[in-house]
Amino acid sequence: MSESKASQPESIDPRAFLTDGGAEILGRCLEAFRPRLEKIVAFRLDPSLRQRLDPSDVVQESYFEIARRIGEYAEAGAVPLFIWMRQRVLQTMIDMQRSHSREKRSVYRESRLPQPQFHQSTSLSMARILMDDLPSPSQAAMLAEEQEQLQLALESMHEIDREVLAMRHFEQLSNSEVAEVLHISPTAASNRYVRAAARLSEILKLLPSQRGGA
Amino acid sequence: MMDEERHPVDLLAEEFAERLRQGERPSIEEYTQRYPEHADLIRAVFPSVAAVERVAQQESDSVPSLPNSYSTAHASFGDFDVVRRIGSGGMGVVYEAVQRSLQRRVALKVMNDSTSVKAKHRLRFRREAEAAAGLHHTNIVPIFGIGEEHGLQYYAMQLINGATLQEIIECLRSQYIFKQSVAPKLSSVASEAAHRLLQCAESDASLHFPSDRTGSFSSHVAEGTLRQASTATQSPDEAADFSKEDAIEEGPMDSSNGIDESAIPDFTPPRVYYQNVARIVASSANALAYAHHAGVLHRDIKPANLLLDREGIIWITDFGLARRQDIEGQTQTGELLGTLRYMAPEQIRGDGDHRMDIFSLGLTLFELLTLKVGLESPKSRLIDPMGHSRVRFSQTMKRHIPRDLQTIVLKACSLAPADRYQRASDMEEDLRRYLEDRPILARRAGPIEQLGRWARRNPTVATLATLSFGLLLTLAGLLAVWNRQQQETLSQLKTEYDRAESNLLQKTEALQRAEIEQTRAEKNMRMALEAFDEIMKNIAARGGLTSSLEILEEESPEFADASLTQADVELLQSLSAFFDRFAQENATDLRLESAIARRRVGEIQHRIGKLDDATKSLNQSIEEFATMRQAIPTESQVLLEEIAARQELITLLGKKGQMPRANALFMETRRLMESQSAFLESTEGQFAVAQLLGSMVNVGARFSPERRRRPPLAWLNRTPPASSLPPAQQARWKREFELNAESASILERLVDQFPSNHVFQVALARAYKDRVRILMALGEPRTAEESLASAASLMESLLLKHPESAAYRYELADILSVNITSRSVDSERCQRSLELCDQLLKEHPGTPEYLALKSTVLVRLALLGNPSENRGDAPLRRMNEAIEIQTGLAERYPEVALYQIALMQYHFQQSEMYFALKRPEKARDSLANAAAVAEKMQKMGVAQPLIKTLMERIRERRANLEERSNG
Repeated sequence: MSESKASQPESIDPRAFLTDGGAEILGRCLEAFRPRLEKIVAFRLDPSLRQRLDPSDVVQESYFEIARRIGEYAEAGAVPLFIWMRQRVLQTMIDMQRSHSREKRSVYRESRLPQPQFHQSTSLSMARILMDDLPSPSQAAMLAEEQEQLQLALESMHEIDREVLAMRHFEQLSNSEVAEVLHISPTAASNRYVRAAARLSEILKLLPSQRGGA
Repeated sequence: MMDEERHPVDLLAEEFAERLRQGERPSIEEYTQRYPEHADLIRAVFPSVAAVERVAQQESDSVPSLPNSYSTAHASFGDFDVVRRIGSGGMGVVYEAVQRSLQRRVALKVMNDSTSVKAKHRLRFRREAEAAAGLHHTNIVPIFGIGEEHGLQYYAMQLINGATLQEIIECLRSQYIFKQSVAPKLSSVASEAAHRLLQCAESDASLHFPSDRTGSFSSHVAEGTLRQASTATQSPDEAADFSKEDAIEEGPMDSSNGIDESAIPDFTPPRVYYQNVARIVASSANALAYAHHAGVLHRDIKPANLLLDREGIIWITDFGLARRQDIEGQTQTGELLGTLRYMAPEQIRGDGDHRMDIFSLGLTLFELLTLKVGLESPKSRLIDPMGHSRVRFSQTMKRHIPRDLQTIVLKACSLAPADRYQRASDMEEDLRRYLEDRPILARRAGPIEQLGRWARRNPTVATLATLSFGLLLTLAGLLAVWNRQQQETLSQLKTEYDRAESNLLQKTEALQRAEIEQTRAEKNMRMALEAFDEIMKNIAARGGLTSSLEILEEESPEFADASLTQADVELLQSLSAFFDRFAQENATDLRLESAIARRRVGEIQHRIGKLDDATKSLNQSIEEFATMRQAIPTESQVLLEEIAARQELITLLGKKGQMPRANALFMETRRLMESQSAFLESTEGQFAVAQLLGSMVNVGARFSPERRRRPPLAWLNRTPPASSLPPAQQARWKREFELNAESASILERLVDQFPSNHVFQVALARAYKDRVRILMALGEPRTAEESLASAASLMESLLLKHPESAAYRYELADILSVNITSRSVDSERCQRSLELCDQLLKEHPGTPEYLALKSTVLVRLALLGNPSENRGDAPLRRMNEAIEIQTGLAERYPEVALYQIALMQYHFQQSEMYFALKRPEKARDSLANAAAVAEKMQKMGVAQPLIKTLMERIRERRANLEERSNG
């Protein structure tokens, strides 16, 4: 989470993409960001599609879009490059997921609860990963139930807090990047993070399997 | 980035996390001791940081590392001395080696450990390799020898000086699609080979200089890197596609390349490229035909196993080495996935004959033609081979790629082996025919055959395809009347439809048509659902003026929702037709979805005033849900849907004046929910109960018979309801109060439990608002005041957390616009409401629902200031402003009854004000205006009974006015 991690490709002037050799610079940036982007996709990917979609495929797929739209970005240049790429990658992921779930005609496609799908799945992603931490596979049955419980609890968190938590820990974005994504000030992002982490501790404490642990 | 902007504990947590990642085990106590001032927060925050980091660590550790290939420790294998590593592929590593005995250079392939362990395996490997070694063909890489050393299987073959088609494709891809310089890992051999494929007679005029604005043209010329003399002008797009021509020749890292951001990543090479590709694949097919004849299957035809040498000759390598068993052993490696991409569906399932090679060769041809992978997601192919093996050309591909080649690919890649070329030589024949410009033999499947095949594969989609496309096209047109934000969504929809339409025009073949039908059908359904949600959202937002709406509903329940525009109605009717057909045609295939569609039909019919039809549809959907619920009792989605349908029906029955039935249904639904104990205990179950109770309160409050006997047009005399209600009515209100209290207490609990879930908070605020109305009816203004304050403070705090939310702001403004009794408190609230409306309108100017609310608030404020008291003309000014706004709305939406009625109402109230100010002339004018609006509505034929009453009332007032002014 150190701020310097992103510094190199981040410090590129967006206009550089418009110059000679811009394509090469873009190529380098894409490669530099690739592991982080794959991690983000791995986290955000709809668990039911995990068998069918590979994070690296998603990132690969998004590169077409990124290459195509880099001019647009370079002109606007409003957000840091990584943040912009992250958005493109996630959009690609959503599109791919959509086409997959359309194939499957999922029963859950129309949810009545008036919550944006994306945020709901943040809870699910987090719950799944947090539950993966359980030591013994023999607890599998309990695990599923707990995951659901945990997911519900996460859903009860403030949407933005939850996102902050997810981005800081699972996407490993820096505080300022989180602020950028959510259009809030770094101070607000930081405060929210502390609040969300505290709340998560509480939630974790309530899970029977986590009691005594951690 | 500025640390001082961040929360101190955040910084500490970051340090803590960083140390965990470094493998340290810092204790939480250490931090609480170091920073006692933050001890509490540290104790609260750090455990989750630790937990999350521990998990994150495991996640990254568990990423499977690819099996490590061979170190150069194994320097020699039998007669062969390893010189260098060339690459890896086909389940092993390939080295360049020297055969000592013959002093010739060879390619030595050493199989991976995992492939060579089992004895049974080895035998098979040996047998296969021996069979392959018996093949002698100009396009098959000859095998010199097979052996085993260091416990590893290896075989030696002729060293081909060239590049694999995979490398060549990658090279072209990075050039033309990513517009990048050649990736450094690709050899210059591949670049050269790639270039050779594109090479043609100089006169072909297909290769061009870039014409982009970066000025690379001149720099290229200056560097003299271009060989082509041809500079024929061409469209920028085409030129851009070949702007990297020189880069290919130059090899890696030619940074002088310009980029063209506008270029669409599609590969549109010159014709000669297609000819070269056809020639290569024809030779490969010829080799396959030979091998098949000799009884040897390749089993792993893919670009990585086809080598193109410097002479332009194609060589097939690795004959017969891929085995099913290998696949099972290696599901995790990238190797297998590479292979899976090209496998025929039957091969993935473990059987198949020589036609699997034809399939794979077809896919290879596809990739050469498009530079895109023919079949995505190899992992999913493993799970469902048939479902993920259909090759498709996109619309742009279809335009660029020679039709015959497309046909050849489609024929070779047919799902069923019987539909493919039966022999590799047949495929070769067609490729040669293409090269010689003779008609190819492969026929695209006839229209009927094709549709039939397609329908078999996609049973659900095929039925959907019959749904009218025109219907949705109309829809897109109708949708265009909405405000900006919606229009954006809609123009997107429209573009998609336009595109679909032009596709339709282009279609010449049944295959294409089938594809279009499919995408269209899928799109149709998705869009219908999106459109429905959009409309409902829009209408729900307009429904804010419930007080006025009530009049309409009480007066003429058969009348459509007063907040609907004509466009809404048409749109909803179209959608209803769509959902109706959907429900009919998919009743067995997509049961849940069609039941949901049925429910939506009911909701729409309800909205547009077809109450009886709506009742029928809702009953039907409830029945369907109930059947499904009994079949899968654990499925809470079904139960939720059923409850939603029941809730809608309760409101509907209330509207139709069938309160006993509404009541009975309510009780039944309640019992149903209570019987599902797990559901009832769940959060969503709790919420559903609260919602049900809430809607019952609404129904009672609006539609109970007593209520409908209330004098119409209550707004004309703003006297608070009498507290001395008849006992029966009093009892009913009491009951409603209880229902409301129960709903509110559930919601309070939920809000308490999930303090950050705003859905619960909004629902609670609404419940409080309902309570205000009930308490007013019961003649308890003081407690009503309290409830209103609770509702307002809930929304205030939500708004504080989401200052950007227009929806919350609107909700709050709406709550604050309610008048109770105390003039000063009411006007204070209305002032705030007015401010909120102004903010909303500043951000979203012209939004009808905000304008409507603002005019309501203005009127209420105007009426709160008693004009006869000497308080200036502020009230009158407000009234005039309200009328101005409302007139604008009424003109913009002449068919929205609600806006007309409100305008009429305001004119009427204005006349009262003038009368109080002793300006009878003005009062008369206002009444005349009110009458004019009424007449207009009468002409439109909406809400006739209501209009009649209204006109009578106006006439009465006019007479009254005359009388008074005369008397």
